[in-house]
Amino acid sequence: MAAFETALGLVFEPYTLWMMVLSGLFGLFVGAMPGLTATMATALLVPVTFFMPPVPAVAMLVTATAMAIFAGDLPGALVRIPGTPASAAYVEDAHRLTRKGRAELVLGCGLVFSVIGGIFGSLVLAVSAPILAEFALGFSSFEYFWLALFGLSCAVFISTGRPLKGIVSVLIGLTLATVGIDPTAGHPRFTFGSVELTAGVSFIPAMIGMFAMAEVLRWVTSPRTIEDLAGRQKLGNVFKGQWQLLRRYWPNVLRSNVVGTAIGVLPGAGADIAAWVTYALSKRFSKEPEKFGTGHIEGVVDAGTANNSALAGAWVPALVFGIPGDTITAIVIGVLYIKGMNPGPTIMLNNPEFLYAIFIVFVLANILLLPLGWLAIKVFRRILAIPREFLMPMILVCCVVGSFAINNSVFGVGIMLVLGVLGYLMEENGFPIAPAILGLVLGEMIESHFMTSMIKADGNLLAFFERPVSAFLGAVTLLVWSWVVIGAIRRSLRGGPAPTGEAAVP
Amino acid sequence: MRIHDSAIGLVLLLLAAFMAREAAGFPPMPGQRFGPSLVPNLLAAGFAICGLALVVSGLRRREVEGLVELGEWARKGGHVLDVGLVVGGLALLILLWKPIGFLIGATLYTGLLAARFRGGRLPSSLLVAALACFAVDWAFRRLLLVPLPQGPLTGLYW
Repeated sequence: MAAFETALGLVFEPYTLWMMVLSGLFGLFVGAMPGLTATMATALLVPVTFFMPPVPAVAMLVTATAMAIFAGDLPGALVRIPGTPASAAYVEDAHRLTRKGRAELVLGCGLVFSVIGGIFGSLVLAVSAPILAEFALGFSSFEYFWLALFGLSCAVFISTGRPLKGIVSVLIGLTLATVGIDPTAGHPRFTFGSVELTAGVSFIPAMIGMFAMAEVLRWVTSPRTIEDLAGRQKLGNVFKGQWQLLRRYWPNVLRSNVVGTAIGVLPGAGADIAAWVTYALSKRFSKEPEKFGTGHIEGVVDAGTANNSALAGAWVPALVFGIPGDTITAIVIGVLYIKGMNPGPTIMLNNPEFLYAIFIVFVLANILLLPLGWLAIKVFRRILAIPREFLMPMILVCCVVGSFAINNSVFGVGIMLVLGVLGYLMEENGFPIAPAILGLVLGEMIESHFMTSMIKADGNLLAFFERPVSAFLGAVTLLVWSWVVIGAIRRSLRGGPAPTGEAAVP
Repeated sequence: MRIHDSAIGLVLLLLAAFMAREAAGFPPMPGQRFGPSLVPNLLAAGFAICGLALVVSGLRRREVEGLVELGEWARKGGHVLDVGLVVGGLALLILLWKPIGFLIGATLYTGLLAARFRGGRLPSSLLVAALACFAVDWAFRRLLLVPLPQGPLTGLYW
């Protein structure tokens, strides 16, 4: 109880609250700009958090992402470009509703159901994280190895429809993680004589490059035109009609909360996949499936709820095991390490007040979403009016400064540039970025647990299955791999095409 | 820019060979049968398998005509040059980071890029870029104490 009171004190400090409001406005801005993602908002905020105490730093990241995911609905509804990939699932319905003159209803729905989803996910996080952390205290290197490998496997097989390219992406991330001094023998690997590389590929510049810079390159190579409905819409009270929606669709909201949070908890899958899956479920179980895609609010309710609940869900494995649930928590884990708040089961023993502070921040950020989101809806037209021709070069400058600030070295900027171009080329060719980032973040953890386990077992691979939890996790991981490999072989024998990622990822 | 899957597969095969060759030079761990080369070798094997699979599937699927396909955007007025300016300009900024400093370098980079994206209007682009970069410099140097280089302007402002 004392820890909870300390946490309350840490969160309700004026400095933390101000930082939450400022980062909330920043998140709304980034989310509302078509083409800029919530992950990018997080990556760009990281350099600012270097110089803060841990709680305001994490509060900033949590608030910015919650706001950005909601704000992605605004350009989706008004200009038919989802602000973030998490809003892509229902962009057609949202836009058509706007065309029918119901912008008020659809934007209000995005806001209210984002708040509901966010609060539900936060409660699941608060309840499950301490229980799981206690359970995980008994884990050894064998369990951690399997858990991290399971996380990577999920990232490969969930985030892309073509597993082969997902595997290549993971291998790229793991290879980048091997650069530098190796964790067991201390031998420098792939450093090519560079002193800077002996410290490894710093993953903050890597992520800024792969997400933010790659995004700018995508914009440069895009048609750069926008169909604007924002100017033609009159927006009154956006909260009107939301209670009726909640009464009508409460089973959908409940289902989407549960599914969204569960997908968030699954390592490697985040808000965008939660939105696609719940939209599909919504259509499958709807009494009016034929209306989906023609301007029907039901899918917007479902997926809008799920994408925000997934955000908090993704923090469960990140905090408890140090394994990111999505790309945003991959960045957050980096920040936690920098702050000395090493994520893992001992966080509950060493820093319980910090864990409680995160729960409180989550609930607070979602409550803050109501007034700030309302404000964003009102001023959206002005946000959209900011010329992208200035904004994109300025984002590049922020990328440069952020990558420099991590070690005060221009080497970080070089990493950002190289990986930005690599990230752009990967996405263009159907290689998902998220598995590479997870591979980079988890690489050292996987290798050190793998090597420790190998030394303990004297090279006997069967030892990886001797402990009950380790055997279970190993079996599940191998099952996932066999299922995918057998599926690929069967498809290849039938001569049919391999699935592409379009169904899962926009 | 889309690259033929088979070409990507070949690059992965070369990468696998390079990694395996490098890993062969890593010393073993005393008293153990494995050492720092184990994981790089496993990754190299992974790249080799995926590379081979991509070469084969690329030849079967033929989604990209030729080795590289630039796509619609490359045919639109100067988009290729825009990409070159973004990447090349950033490389130049890294090279000149210390001699010209952040403020001058970033102002020129963003101002010229903005003017290019707007199709002209260089003076106003440079002015807006200078103001924005000044704000970034102030925030990072003064508030966050990041030692951004000042170049020839050293000592002339905070």
